Amino acid sequence: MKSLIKKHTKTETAVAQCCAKTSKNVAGCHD
Amino acid sequence: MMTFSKHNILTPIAGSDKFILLNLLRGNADILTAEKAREIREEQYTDVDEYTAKGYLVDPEQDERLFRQRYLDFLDERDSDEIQVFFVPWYACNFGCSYCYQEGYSNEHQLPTRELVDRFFRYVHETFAGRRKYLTLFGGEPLLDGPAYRDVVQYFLEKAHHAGLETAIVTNGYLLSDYVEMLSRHRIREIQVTLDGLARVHDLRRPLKGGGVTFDRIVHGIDQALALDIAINLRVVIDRENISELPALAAFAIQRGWTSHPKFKTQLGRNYELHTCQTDRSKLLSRVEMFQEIYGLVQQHPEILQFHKPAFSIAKFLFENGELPSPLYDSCPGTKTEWAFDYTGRIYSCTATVGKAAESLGTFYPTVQKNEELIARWEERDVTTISGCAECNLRLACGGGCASVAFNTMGDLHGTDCRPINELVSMGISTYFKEEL
Repeated sequence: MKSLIKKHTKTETAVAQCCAKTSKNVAGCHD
Repeated sequence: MMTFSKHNILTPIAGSDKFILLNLLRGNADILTAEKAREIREEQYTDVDEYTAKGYLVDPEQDERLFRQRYLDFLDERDSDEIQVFFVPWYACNFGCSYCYQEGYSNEHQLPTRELVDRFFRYVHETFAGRRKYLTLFGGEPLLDGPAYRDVVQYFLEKAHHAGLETAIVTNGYLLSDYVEMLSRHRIREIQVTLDGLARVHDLRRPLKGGGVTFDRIVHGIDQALALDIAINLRVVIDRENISELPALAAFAIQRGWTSHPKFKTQLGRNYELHTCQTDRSKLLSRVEMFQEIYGLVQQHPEILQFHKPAFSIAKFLFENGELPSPLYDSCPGTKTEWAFDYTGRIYSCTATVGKAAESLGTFYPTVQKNEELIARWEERDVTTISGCAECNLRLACGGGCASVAFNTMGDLHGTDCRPINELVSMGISTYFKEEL
């Protein structure tokens, strides 16, 4: 197994909203 | 007894003989050989210690406790999240888009009074007190020609300024250059503008009402906004008609210098089955089809990634952050971190329902009245309450999807709107982790 996790200390939790929380779409939750 | 966690996602990686195994509850993601993947599928584990250490093999009771604990974390995080508050000043629009989902909406050409706008701001101030929030002007088309329309926009932006709130604007961009000076004097968070390709294709899909090209004016408006350091969020609405335009549009944006501007970003939106629009659904791409097309185009034209990096579910996040996102217990922001209000004084859950009077959740004007029972149904919807999600191993990546689509397709707000997580992850790992494969 080859891990893809590089950061094991979580400094900031992020929630992957439907519209990619890191770059939330201005028009809400369009498909 | 240790078992394979019901939150494990195991899927082949596109274009490779390897597999990806991940678990959002434990925050682990690993690439496996086909042999190891076969062992897991046959429950003949040879790396028990490693699978156990990483939380792929679990005590089911412990796994359930962790699921509940992370759910509480999710609710806490969401409670401190920013709320997006939409306001629709009118449903009027100067465009006649071929795929307009608001075509059948009532449109009385009645402008909101200052009293109504004041009451909207009072409602936001009182209801969302203590919450981080920002406003978004939506439509119809909020940036229309004429002093009466301009006066409403100006008044709204001044009220927002006094309330200490940023405003985003969702516009077709046609009159952006006429408004850009006004916008530059206010706290604009970003402007969302749509281009559906280069001029020929865009103008066919997004002409003026009654005909007339729009591409060149929109491009000019984007140039002007970026020159004034106003953030632009460029949206492309995609279906079978225009997906092949993506490489050319990406090249155009790169050549124009947009993609190197720090305040330029993009989103690809699927033209989809919202409400009654799209009587000719043959041109629509399913979610899987759209991402398969994009995946194929990116293989041939990797420069597209300079223009837009598709999320491919959790794949882009994992690539950019070196960790998985938190488990997604709910992907629908409606009534949680999103609300919508319109010039009739009605309150709605989100942009998908705003304007559908039958789906209104109440009014903020002339009096405040709320359908608490219906609001509760919206608020309760997540993967712990959607029965269709109960046994799904993808639920913490999918989040149950869009409540409005679920209601439209299944007649039940608590129905599912499933996302093709296996396929998205498969393509995303292939796209972003080439060196690891």
